[in-house]
Amino acid sequence: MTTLTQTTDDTAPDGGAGAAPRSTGSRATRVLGTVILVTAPIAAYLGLVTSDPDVVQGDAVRLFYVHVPVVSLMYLPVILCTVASIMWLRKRTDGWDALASSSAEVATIFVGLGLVTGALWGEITWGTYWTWDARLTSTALLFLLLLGYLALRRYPAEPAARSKVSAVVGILLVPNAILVHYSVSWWRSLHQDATRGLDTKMEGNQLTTYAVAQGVFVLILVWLSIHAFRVAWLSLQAERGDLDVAIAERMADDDATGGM
Amino acid sequence: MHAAQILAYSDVGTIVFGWGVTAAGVAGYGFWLARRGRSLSRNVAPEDRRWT
Amino acid sequence: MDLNDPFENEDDVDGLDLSPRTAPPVRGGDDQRRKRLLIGGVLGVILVVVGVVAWQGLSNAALYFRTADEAVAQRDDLGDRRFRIEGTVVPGSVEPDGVAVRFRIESNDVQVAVFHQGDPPDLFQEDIPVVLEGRWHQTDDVFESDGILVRHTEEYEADNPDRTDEYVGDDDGGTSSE
Repeated sequence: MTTLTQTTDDTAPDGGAGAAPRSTGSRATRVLGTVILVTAPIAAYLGLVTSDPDVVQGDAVRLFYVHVPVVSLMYLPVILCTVASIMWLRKRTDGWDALASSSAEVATIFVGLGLVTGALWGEITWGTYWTWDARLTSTALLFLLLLGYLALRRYPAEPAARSKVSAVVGILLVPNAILVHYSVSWWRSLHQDATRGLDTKMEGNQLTTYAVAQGVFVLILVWLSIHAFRVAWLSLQAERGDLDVAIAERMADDDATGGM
Repeated sequence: MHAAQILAYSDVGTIVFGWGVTAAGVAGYGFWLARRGRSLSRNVAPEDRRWT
Repeated sequence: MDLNDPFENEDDVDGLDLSPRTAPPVRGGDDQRRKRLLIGGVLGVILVVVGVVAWQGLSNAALYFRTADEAVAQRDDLGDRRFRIEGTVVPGSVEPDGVAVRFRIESNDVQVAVFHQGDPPDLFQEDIPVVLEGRWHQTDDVFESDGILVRHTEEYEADNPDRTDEYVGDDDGGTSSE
């Protein structure tokens, strides 16, 4: 159901050995993508077909298998973005800049999907899509912070200044994520206390299904993160190239007018 | 294949929609990344695309 | 990844072009202005929404619910204010009453009678923790609820194990249920 491999002409046919790839794909990500294409349908089959319904929740437990892996993994790109933001402020290199920007993008996808699947699951089990409890409210704030970060990243400005403002916002992500994680123990909430696999009491084919789904989402996170990083890197290089061209054109203009 | 069984679930619409949104979100973002990577690669010098 | 360390500053190493790239291109000024306006607007909207969410969080999430015993103790202070009350549905107390339902909830050995108008959610049942939205009745010791939220626990149990299969699958059939 999830199509993630890049199937065609990833390697340059003209170059042979040593040629630069013409996409963000590489052998490692193609293997990874293939594994995801094979395992994701298995996880879907386990979750939607073979897993037993729950004594209390009935078939709503089937949403557990997407919601819990997604929200448990959302912390990783969030942390990565903050770390990369700090490192960018120290080193000011494109690598850290690209890592910060790409992690924020991946984090936005995961937090967004966590909110959507959580709302759907909540509608069945709680009886409402949304309520202003601590876990949901802090997660909504995290999502908005990420959206703000992505908007800043696209703001037309001098690259270094833009990266600096983005980095400051990126540093705020981890404190917000800590708020999300501990919200259920710091405040009373409708959301259940434990969400991580270790605390959750589950067994039998429900546990197996959850384990497989969690594994698939780990692979998806890795695939998306690698490609997002490469895209962000290329985007920085392309922008730099444009800037060089623009500067060269202006200098040429100046020369031309100066010569007249 | 197991359509009859799945359709018998309580709240089947919500459950299938949840899985569908997740699959579409992940796959959509994946495709977008792949396409963007391809088009950006054309504008970037080979020495700046060094993964294999 | 075989990037030759994109995290190190090669410009320093190579002594390449250290001049700050300040000059924003003069061309396409209009385009840039439009983009600035658009993204500035988006950022403004996000800021407003952040404000709303933070306000909701402070007014709701800080004290999301009072337990049944707290609500009883604070009865006078609460007056006819709306709040959320939490407790476990007392087994045997649920009585349908037309389009409404009466039941009792319990928390720390204190019971509260509840009159709920509307359809309870599917998972509503005896002996399950619930959060109710509503207010105290003006005179009676009854909580008038117009919203039931079921708190689910982190415990899951398969509703099947060795039961005879009701559904016969196309293939092995043995793993199917319902």
